[in-house]
Amino acid sequence: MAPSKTGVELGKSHERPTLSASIAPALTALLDHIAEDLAREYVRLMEVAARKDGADVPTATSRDRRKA
Amino acid sequence: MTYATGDWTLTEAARLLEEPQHRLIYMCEKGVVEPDVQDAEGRGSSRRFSNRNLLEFAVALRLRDLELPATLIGAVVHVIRAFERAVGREIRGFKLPDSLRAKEAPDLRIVISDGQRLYFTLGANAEPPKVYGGINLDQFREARGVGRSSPRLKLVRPEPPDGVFHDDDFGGPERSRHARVEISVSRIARDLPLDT
Repeated sequence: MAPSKTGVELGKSHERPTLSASIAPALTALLDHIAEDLAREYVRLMEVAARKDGADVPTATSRDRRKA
Repeated sequence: MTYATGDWTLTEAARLLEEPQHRLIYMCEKGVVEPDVQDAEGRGSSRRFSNRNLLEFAVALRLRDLELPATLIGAVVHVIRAFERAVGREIRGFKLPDSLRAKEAPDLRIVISDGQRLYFTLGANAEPPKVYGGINLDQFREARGVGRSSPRLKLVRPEPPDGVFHDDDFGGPERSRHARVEISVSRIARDLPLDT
C-alpha cells in the first residue's frame, strides 16, 4: 500500500495526561535540557555542512545575523 | 498548531513496521507514543498515527527489545519530540522523521552505557560525535515521582578512569567501561518504509 502523504493537523490527543507528564518535573527539565543541547548542536552541524557545500541553511540565528 | 504528515491506522502502522499490533498498542497504553492524528476515545474510535509516530514506535520497540522500562522509553521519546520542536524553531521545515532521513543529516543516537546510564550522541561527517545526557537509569526503574529533588538527578560528563582519553579505547564517545548499546535514531528514520 502506498504511504499516505496527507498533512494532518494535530487534534486533542496531546491535551490528555501523558507518560512524560507523569515523569518527575526535575527529570523532565533535564530531558528538555538535553533536547535543547542536541538541537543546538544539530543546527551547528547543518550550518557547517551547508557552508562546506556553499549553500545556506536558513536558521533563525543566521536570519538574525543577516538582519544585523 | 503542530503539523504532522502521515495518517496510518494501527493495522497499517504494524504492517509497515513489521511488528505485531499488540506491541504498538502496549506503547500507546503506556503513554510512550501518543497518536498524533487521532487517539482512541471510547468505542468506535480508533488510533491514527503520523509518520513521526512511526519513528517513535520504531525507536521505542528497539529499546523495548532490550527490556528497558516503559518510563525510560517514554523519556527517550520525550527527548526526540522536544528535540524536533527545538530544531524547528531554528530551521524552518524541520520535521521528523523526514529531516533525519536526508543524506546529509547528522546522526542522532541513543546510548545505554554499562547498563547504568542514558546518553544521546550527535555527529556528522568527520567530526567526532558529541555526547549529551548521562542520566542514571535507576531514575526510570524506580516508581514515578522518585527523584523530585534527588541529589542523584544530574548529568554525568564522561571521564576516563585514568584521566586520559585514548582513541583506541572501547566505550565510544561516552566512554563506557564494559558494555554499551547504541541505537541510531537517524538510521531507523532512514529505514522507515516511507516514499518521501
